Amino acid sequence: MLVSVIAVYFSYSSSHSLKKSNSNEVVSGESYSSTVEPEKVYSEATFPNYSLKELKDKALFIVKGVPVQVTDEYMVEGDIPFTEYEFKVDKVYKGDKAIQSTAIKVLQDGNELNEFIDHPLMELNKEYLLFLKKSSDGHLIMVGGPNGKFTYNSKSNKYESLNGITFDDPSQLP
Amino acid sequence: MLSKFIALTGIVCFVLFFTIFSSTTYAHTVSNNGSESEGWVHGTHATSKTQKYFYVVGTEQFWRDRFNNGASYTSSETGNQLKMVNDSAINTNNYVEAQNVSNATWVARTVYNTSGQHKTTWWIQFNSAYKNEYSNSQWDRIAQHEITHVFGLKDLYENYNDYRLMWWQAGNYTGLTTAEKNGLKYIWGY
Repeated sequence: MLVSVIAVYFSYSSSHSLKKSNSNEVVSGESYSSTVEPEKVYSEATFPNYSLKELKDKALFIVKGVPVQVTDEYMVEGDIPFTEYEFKVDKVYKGDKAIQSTAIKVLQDGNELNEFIDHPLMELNKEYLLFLKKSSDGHLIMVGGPNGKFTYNSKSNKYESLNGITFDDPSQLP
Repeated sequence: MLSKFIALTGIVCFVLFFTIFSSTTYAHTVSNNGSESEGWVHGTHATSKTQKYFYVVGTEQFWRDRFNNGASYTSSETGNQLKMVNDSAINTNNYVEAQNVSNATWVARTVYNTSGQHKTTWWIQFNSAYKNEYSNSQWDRIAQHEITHVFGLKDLYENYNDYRLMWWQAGNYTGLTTAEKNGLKYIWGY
């Protein structure tokens, strides 16, 4: 019985302190105070519904390549996370061929502190096929988030999307 | 000594009574997480069946209406078991807001802290950069989708689930399907 009482006390104490800490975050408008270790949070997001044809139509570039380094990680509006990559382009399937064999900057939703469960951050030096468009402020972003990000499966020799759409030759897109 | 014993007994009885009969009963540990083939997948769930939230100052009435309608769908489709209650920032850390983020590719999202299987704090954000791409009724269902994340269901990705509320892409939601209702019933034990 005493254990129950102690458990109730500690349960109350811990939830109370969590609430205080988070209240400070919201009220201050800052993402984290300087004295509090940033806590990782998770996002489950809803993305637009695009067919392969729509992806192709909306894309300014369709490129195959690898992210070679993270050039920036940041939040906007306090808690909207982004990661910027340097992406080495091996082949251009749509768009200006001048970017072939160059490195471009690609922006993805999420960062180390707030990752999207549906849209994991790209792994460095892993091959991707990306459908990219320019945002209103000029960043290259993936069309529809994970819709426009295909990973290369070396076992099947196919590009695969989050929901299992696969194709082997990007030049044969509908 | 006897008075202390009586006091402690009283506290424990109160806690037990509150736990058993309160409408905000804490969710139990979920051992079956469902599956795509079952039509529902459990991720992490809120700590109680009634969730308080506040609207961030400046949130337009348009988005408040969308969220209210989504919450209303959730309540009615779960037999009034899972509820969202608008409150003040003094009483809750959970909140709802809209942000206009043109670089973001998401339409709406549910963000949360976790402790074990529980979402300890959550917030739902609508990306108003997509406001004109969906009708009001589509946004209502997108809100319901996000609310259902709070109550424990994860997104579904297999194409045979593309008609369900928890399908990962927005636009064609028509409410909780029977399988998803069963998943929520299992998670919350009602």
